[in-house]
Amino acid sequence: MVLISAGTKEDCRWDLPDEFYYHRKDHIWAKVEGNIVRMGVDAFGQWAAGTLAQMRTFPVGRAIRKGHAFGNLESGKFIGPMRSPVSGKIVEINSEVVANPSMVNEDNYGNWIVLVEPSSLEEDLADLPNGEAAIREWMEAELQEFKDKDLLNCD
Amino acid sequence: MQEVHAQSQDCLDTAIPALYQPAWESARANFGDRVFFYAPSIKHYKTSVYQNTSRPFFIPVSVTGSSCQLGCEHCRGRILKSMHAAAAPAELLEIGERLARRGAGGVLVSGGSRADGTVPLTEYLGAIRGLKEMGLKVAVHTGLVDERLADGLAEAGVDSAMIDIIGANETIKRVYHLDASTADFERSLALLCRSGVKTSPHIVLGLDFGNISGEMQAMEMISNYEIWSLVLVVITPQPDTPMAAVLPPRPAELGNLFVKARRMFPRTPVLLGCARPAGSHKTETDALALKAGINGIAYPAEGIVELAGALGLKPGFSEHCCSLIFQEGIDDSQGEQLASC
Repeated sequence: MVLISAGTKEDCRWDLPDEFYYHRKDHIWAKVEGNIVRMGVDAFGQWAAGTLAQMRTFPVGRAIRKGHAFGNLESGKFIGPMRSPVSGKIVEINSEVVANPSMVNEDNYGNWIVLVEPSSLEEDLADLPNGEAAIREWMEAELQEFKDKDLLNCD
Repeated sequence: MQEVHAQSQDCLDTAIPALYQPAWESARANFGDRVFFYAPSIKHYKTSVYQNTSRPFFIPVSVTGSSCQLGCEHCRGRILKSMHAAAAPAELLEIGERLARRGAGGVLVSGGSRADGTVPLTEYLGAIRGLKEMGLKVAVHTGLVDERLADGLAEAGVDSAMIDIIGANETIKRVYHLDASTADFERSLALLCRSGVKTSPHIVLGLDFGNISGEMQAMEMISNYEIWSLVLVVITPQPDTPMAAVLPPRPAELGNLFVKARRMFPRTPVLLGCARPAGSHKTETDALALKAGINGIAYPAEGIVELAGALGLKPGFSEHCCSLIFQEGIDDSQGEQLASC
């Protein structure tokens, strides 16, 4: 687990499992489980978005592409798509979470959103942050960008 | 299972219901075919036809941090938590300087209320004037005001004074826990309008635990004054508040209020503001707002900009606060990208 922190506020602490892969901008995590990829919102993503109010996903069976939407969400501070870290086909949706998206705020790694059968996994994972060093490097850049945009609000 | 229309929204019904026809015609007669969409950088906003710049452009700042002495039933200070905190006038100026350097467009000066319904803004008037001198647009959530504050806001050059107007005494007591009456809200509105500050009263539809009560009285009260725009928002249940499980009014109920507002304010911009429930409720509500001839919508649901195009309206986009309607900062260029329905 990689612990990232910023500022002095207690809630500006984010755990990112080092065995997961991440969409760099949308903060969607991807966990490879054999021939399936489980996906959800990472700790920083749910913090930045605030309380999730609404979530929709494409249906089971829909082909999705890396970098393109597999659903969208609306929260206190975000309205927009959730873009997939990998290409493939949606094989299962966590309907309970989709119906109650604030569950992601309570446990963002336990409350996954979709399972995807990947179509080009090795190629898709190649440029995604994974492992402590890559996750730290990526998150430092993210925090700097948020700070530059005055969006960090951690002091 | 829920299906998303993330890239291409099915076209929404373009028929104008008979009940809405007079409101629609009134809007077209008085405002032509323009409609405005707002996405202040309070939220990152991205749909298939428009996205804001996700840099600080219009920023909310609370002069009380997350503290509010009223602890209203629908909020309990939660809304303040996502705002920047300026505990002193110097901090407000510092935030303004930082934003101005980065090319921001404006600031919403807000804050929690004291127990008497006022927001401690008087000591910030000098700093607000400073924000204006930096070239920033300034909108202010005023709370109840006295003459000194109303005049001070006008002298400071505030671009928009926003005040929630409640039309039922019972709601003021039950929801705001405030020992005040509708007359106190009307007096504040009168003072703001008399001071010459551009005033945009807000009405929270369904504020009384999701029930419609007092909204029409609030509109009638407001109609006695020369306002800059009327902003309608919808009660949005917040987690961890006494209203967390409240059902907001149905879109059809809201649509009826939009029609009434349009007819009561035929030449004043009427807007659907930031706060309203998400999901299909929002899509339905936004569609009815367009058909009722509402002038602008903040953070429109996916498919609504396309619906505006299908209804023959010409959309403009802005990252400013919607209460600043018809001021600078409207971007027409993205209207050309609309998919046709």
